[in-house]
Amino acid sequence: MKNLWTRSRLKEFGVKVLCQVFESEGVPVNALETVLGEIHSATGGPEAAAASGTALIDAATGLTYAEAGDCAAAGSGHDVWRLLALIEDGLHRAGAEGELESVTVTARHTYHLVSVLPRQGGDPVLLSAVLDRAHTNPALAARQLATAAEGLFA
Amino acid sequence: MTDGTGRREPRNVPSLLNALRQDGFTGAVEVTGGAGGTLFLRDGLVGAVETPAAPSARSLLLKSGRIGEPDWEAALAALAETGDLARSLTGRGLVSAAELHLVCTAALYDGAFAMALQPVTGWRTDAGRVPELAAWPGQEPARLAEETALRQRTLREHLPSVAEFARRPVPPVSAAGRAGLDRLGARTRTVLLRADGRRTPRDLAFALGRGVYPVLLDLARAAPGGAGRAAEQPVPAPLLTARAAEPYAPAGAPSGDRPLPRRVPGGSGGRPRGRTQIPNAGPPAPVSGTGTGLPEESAP
Repeated sequence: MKNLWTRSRLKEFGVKVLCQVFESEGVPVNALETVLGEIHSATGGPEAAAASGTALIDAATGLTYAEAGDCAAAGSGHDVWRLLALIEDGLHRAGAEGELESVTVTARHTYHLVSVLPRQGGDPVLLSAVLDRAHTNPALAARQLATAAEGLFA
Repeated sequence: MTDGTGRREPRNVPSLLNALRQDGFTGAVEVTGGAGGTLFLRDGLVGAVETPAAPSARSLLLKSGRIGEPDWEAALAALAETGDLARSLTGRGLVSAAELHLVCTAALYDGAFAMALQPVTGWRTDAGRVPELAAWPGQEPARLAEETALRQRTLREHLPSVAEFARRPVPPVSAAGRAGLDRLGARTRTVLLRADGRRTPRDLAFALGRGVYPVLLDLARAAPGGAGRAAEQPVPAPLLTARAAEPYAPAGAPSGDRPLPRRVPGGSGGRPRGRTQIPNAGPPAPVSGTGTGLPEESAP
């Protein structure tokens, strides 16, 4: 599948969202949710991942910034944060160096992919995606999510 | 607030916000008590919280180094053309609309959390004021209260008194503790290394350009007894040894003038003010056990 979500495309999209926010008086658009919705649909497609839910979560607090699709299978943002904090603490106590990059949870019907997106000068953000296991190549999905998210904070 | 509908006057900030949500209020709610602060609403949804108790979106962007001072000044200077700071910042490519929304949302929840750590003495509404930066369309007041309560519960897993911990200066890491710093994440390490025995968690948050809650959480989780106690205790002491080290008190001898808490039949449901179960425990902290997430005190 041709990946349309290049950095320039996201930037261009950011400008479009910006115009919507400031020009449609009275009907403001949540810029973050709109961009996340596009990331969510970017992972859909027959030969890629059919994302059932995508969420952007604060990596330090568990606050959910935006959601697209059905994220119930991943739990709340706070649940995802707890899971990653537990794994991160365990890794550090065990002497692992560096920071956690991603976690993949495999269940009978779903994959739950969580990527840590670093942010210049701010706490990182978690991109959490619940994917239908029967129709997903997890490696490809993780790569697509990473590419789609690349321009989010550009 | 004047209420011509004959409804009951709100008894705390969350119920005030719920009432304003029902009315579709647009404007500012200025809250007094502690450091005070202002909540900005549009159609009853909260888009920004500005308080000296927590870094604003501006502080988060500048102190963290996300946007440089000269760029910020240039964006301010261009305000005359754009008429809007957010548009100035995004239009100059200093930050994307999505990231700005994220930072403003983080500042909003952090401001509400920090204000909830202090007692409220009153409030008034002002339909004319607008925030410097905001995350519109805004958050439901119910979700704001829920998240604030969740943050307090999460901190109480590690700390006996959140408000007390937030007020106290953070002691510097001991020489022994420094050896264990490698076993913590980079974020927590940075916070601990900035502690100098004078700065409170709030001061650290302002210095680092991070929220008060994330700084408190990192400190709490790294504190002895917290989940990430590796910094102070690289090798946890066995539980049995710790118990044996406590002084032995014979069963019959009174251990002090304070009696042990005793359960009485029907006691748990029958108390008029059931905030505390322990006799002589003193007045409850302003934030503990309210469950509403935002301060409980009534307006004058």
